[in-house]
Amino acid sequence: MTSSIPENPASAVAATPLPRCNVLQSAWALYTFTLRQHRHGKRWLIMAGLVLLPALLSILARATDPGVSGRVLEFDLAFMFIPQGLLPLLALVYASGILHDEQEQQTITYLLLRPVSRPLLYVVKLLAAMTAAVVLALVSTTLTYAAIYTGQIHLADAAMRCLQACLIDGLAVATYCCFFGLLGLLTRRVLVAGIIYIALVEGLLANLPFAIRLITVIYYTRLIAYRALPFVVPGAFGNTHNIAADAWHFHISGDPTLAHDPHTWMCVTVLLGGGALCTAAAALLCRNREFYVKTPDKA
Amino acid sequence: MCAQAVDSDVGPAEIKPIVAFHDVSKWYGNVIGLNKLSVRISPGITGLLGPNGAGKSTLLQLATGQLFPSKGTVEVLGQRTWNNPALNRSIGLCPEQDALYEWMTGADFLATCARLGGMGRTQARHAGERALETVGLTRQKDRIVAGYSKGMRQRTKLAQALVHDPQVLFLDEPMTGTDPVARHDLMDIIQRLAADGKTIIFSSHVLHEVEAITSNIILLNRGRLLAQGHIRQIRDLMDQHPHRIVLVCNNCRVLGAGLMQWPHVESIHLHDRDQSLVVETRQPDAFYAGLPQLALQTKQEITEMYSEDDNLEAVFRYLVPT
Repeated sequence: MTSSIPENPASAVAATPLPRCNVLQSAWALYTFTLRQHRHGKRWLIMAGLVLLPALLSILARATDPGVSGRVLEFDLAFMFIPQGLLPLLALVYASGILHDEQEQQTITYLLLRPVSRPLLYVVKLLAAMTAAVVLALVSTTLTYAAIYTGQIHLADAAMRCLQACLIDGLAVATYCCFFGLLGLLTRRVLVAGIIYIALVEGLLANLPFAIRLITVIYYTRLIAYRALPFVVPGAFGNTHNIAADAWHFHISGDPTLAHDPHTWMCVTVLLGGGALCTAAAALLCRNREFYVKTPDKA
Repeated sequence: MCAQAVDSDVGPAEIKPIVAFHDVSKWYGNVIGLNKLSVRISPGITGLLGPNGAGKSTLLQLATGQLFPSKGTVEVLGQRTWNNPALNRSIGLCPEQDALYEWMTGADFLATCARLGGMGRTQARHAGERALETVGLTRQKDRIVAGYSKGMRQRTKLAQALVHDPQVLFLDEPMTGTDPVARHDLMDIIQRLAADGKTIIFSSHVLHEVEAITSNIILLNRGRLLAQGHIRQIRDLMDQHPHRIVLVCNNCRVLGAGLMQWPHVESIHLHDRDQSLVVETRQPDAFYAGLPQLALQTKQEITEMYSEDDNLEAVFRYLVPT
């Protein structure tokens, strides 16, 4: 060595934390970088296909049955298919591999070796994944409404309903992202576990008319949707009935205002709070977790 | 074999070490990665040597805060490494795995790494360009990483470790898979970085690579410190082992017959239809001194002679139990 070396090099350098503004710059760089990551790969194509599916189905339905009720179509696609099938899948695909994907691709080292704490790393990457999932959910919902109501009267009403549906879907997919993000840290087989969760919990339990459905995300989104949007359609004998109440097992005969179910603000609080709790737990897990990267040796 | 730390410039006690492991053990379930390792590394270049599975990568991952020690403490620049992101401003790691963000260009990757380190956009771009220039990738900086050769990928990984101008560099098998030209270039780069005042700890199991760059080495085997110090001093530890010397000549059988008379020659093995022989001796100096005379006496022309003990392979062979 020919260079000048301080007599006591260890004391010559003080590894001080990044200033707050630099932490924000790092976090923003990580956020935009993760969004760019989501734009690459085959996942994007598969997701695009899924996102277009409800709109294509509604076009198909209208083409094959011109007399189909827009409200029924809206309910079946925007409030059954999208929340129950598309939203959890979107969240599962984007949020389950927040750090797991980097670990599998062995690129996580480049992130861990930056002056960003692990909890912050997780939270920022979760936000980016959430952004991607929410944008896709909103695109899907908007296209579905456009496919259902284009050419029909009451477009302003349809636009308002679309906006409300978008807000509900955005909230739901954000909550799912937080949950699947945590699940991704708890199990290596997160896709299998996630699909089982979607099928059993959000699919089966949410549709049982018992208190067990209180643990599902979809129950709260349905309550919000039910209170925000009318789902009354004319019946076969000139009467009307609420298709949402029937399909979602809301006991409106004895409790027409659903006073015994959580209020809208409570539903929003539960979804946001649940998401925050999942995120906090996941960040805590990240703080103390070692992310093993397969070296050729270990492989 | 127990650890044989020799008096060396790798870890003199009077200088506070850059990297210090105090009685560190690391377990992966039931598998031990490092076993009660205590080592101090001072400024300069230090080679981390050991066969596959010796614990080199574990040591580097502990030193860079990717793993936490099951027991003991790890300090770099006087600070604990686990959960200490601030320390990452002063250290850089070139990882072993050949993984990069394939869809990015080299310049984009470097600028992103710099921005993740807290730099602004312009500053990050300049830092990335500087790092790419240091590793000689300026001309290829706008190409997609997926199209890079192995040597270029290694340089890119090295550049990301340098982009924030760290004081300490950890290089995990930086020459793996590279061709001789790229290998030579990387060695040059590492030596230049050391000359610029950076402390470099690099691992390898290709021993001549290490020997070409530094004489300060740490030998690991099965998670334990086998030896630490200057290569010459480590070779002194081998005195109890016979040295192997290879001779290439026209008729080595005749020469071998003469060598058999020497008391310090332990064994002779003929190879290649008597065209070469391998001598094992406990007194290499006496052997080299007497060989010209014997060659004259037996009228044998020795066309090539080399000692298999001149490189670190010999150190391994003697010190690493098989």
